[in-house]
Amino acid sequence: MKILVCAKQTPDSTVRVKVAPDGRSVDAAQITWAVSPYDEYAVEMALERKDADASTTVAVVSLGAARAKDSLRQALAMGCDEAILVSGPGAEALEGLGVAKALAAVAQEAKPDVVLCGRQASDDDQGLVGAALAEALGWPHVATVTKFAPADGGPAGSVNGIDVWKEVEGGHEVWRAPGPVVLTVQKSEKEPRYPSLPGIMKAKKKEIPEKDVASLGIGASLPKPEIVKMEPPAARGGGKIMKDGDAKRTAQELARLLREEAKVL
Amino acid sequence: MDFSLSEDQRAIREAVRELCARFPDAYWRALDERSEYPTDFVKALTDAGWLGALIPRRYGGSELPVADGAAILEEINASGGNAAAAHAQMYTMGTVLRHGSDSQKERYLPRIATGEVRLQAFGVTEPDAGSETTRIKTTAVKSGDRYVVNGQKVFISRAQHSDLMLLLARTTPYDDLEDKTRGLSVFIVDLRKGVESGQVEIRPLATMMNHHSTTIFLRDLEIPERDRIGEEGMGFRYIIDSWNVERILIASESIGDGRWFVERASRYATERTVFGRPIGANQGVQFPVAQAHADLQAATLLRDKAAWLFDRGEKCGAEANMAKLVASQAAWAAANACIDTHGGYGFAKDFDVERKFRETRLLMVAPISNNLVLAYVGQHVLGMPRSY
Repeated sequence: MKILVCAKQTPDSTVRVKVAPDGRSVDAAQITWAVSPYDEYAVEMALERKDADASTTVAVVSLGAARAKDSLRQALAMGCDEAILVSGPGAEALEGLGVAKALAAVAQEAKPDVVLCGRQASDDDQGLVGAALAEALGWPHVATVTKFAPADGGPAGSVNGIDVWKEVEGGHEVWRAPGPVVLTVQKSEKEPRYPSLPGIMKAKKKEIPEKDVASLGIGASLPKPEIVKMEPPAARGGGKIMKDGDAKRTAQELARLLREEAKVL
Repeated sequence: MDFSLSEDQRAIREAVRELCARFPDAYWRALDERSEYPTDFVKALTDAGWLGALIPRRYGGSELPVADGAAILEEINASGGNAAAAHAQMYTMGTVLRHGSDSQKERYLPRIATGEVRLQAFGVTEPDAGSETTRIKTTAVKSGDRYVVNGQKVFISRAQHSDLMLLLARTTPYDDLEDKTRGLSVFIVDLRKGVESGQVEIRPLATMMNHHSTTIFLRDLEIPERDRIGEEGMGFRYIIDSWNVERILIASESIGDGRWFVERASRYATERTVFGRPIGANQGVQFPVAQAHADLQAATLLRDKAAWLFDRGEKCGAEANMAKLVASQAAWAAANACIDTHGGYGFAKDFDVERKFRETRLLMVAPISNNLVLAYVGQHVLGMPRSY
């Protein structure tokens, strides 16, 4: 089975992000970059397939700035077989639909049985690319996936459909999709593995080919929404300390405040 | 001069940080309270290949330079953890690598690289011989094709969590020696077998921090001659050879500790408000933290130089020892600044400052007392008279 994972490089989730002076972008200084968490689950899910069946190959693609190569290198160190960077002028400014079209061009060339995307990126939370990618490819799409495996039957090595586990309220469902298919990933069975030292040493020898986004034939006139303003969340107000020593009165007052002021009861 | 990190070095530091992030403060705090060994953490390090970093590729390791080994241990301590539980698996094998026979290397190194065999104990110090190593009394008496060992070792770290131990024992009586640095030999001891047969007894030694130190009694322990490393009587030279790497790596743990203290102290000083402003706005609070940071940066440069010399195969005894000296001092100053900054909370276990404070104090005393580093620098680097 051949798997293609789409991985976006976003600010590391442990970093405290600041708004840039222009008021509509993020201050890039002091940011450390990493694979977006849901995409990291997608990488792990692909590698779990590879653990189960060594004939599986996993390629990972990232679209964005040249620095995304570091994140691809990280995915290689985790155990992916190959990596592709789509970059060049205009790559960073692409909006979800354009990203999906560019990735579709990569997928058409790579011919995977399964494309995995995180369900949404941790920077813009749009959740658009996976579904739009399936649309652009004309392939089926299953969302909120937690696991997948080749369906039984068919000759060895062939992919006779994909069984997909989906999280739903109170349980899970198993869907069967004909391949090739695009899956958007909710969570993998295990936490994403960390790169091993031998993995890092192996990864550094691998070439990461770069594709110019301009060569992928995406229409230039895609309609594009724009961010016009960014605001940090409002600072948290001071708490209220109830100083009455009597437990019963304090509890009554607390219940009143929760009902009348906080309106949570 | 190029001070930038290579792509490899950045990847190594990043990957170690990522692994350590899964073992947060609460993990280490709970172990500390129960005096438990960080089994899960050490397993994760082992499985990801970090403890085989310095072993040559032909024996299954990654053959990294010591500079990278230093970065691995520094990041562990900077994350709030304590590399002491596992660092010896990284470097104890150096004595086997440099002085062992081909068959000893083939037999042990590949399994040390995978972690299948743990070699992370070195039995050197004794109740009556600490810094004065040449005075050890544990004897190894040749008897046919084996040695029979009797004696006692103390402050032997991790012996309960190690399969093998390197042992320094006397093979020629002290009084019979002209050259007092001769007469000692290094052996590989199978601790599991020894304990099973009753020839080795390991007793835990409770200490100020969670360090897994032990006292070891050796009673008629039989060691086959093939488990002696190198020549008989040359053991003291062999262990001296391993000291420089150890100094560089321990300096790195100090630097990691220091980074943790400075980070916690500067964050707390910025967030904690007293008398209507952050306490870090007071020079009395701010300056010791800034000073500690500056001292740590200086220690880092000296550590880097020592590692650079070592990796080029040049003499680095002075730099390695001085790096350990200044790094442990800088970390200790950072620890004090951090506890002062936190006030009462510095002593509260939930803040982890007191735990790291106890842990980093050790590095001024072990693996060598800082006074002995000064004695070495005074005598051997500056040519002054011997002071001890």
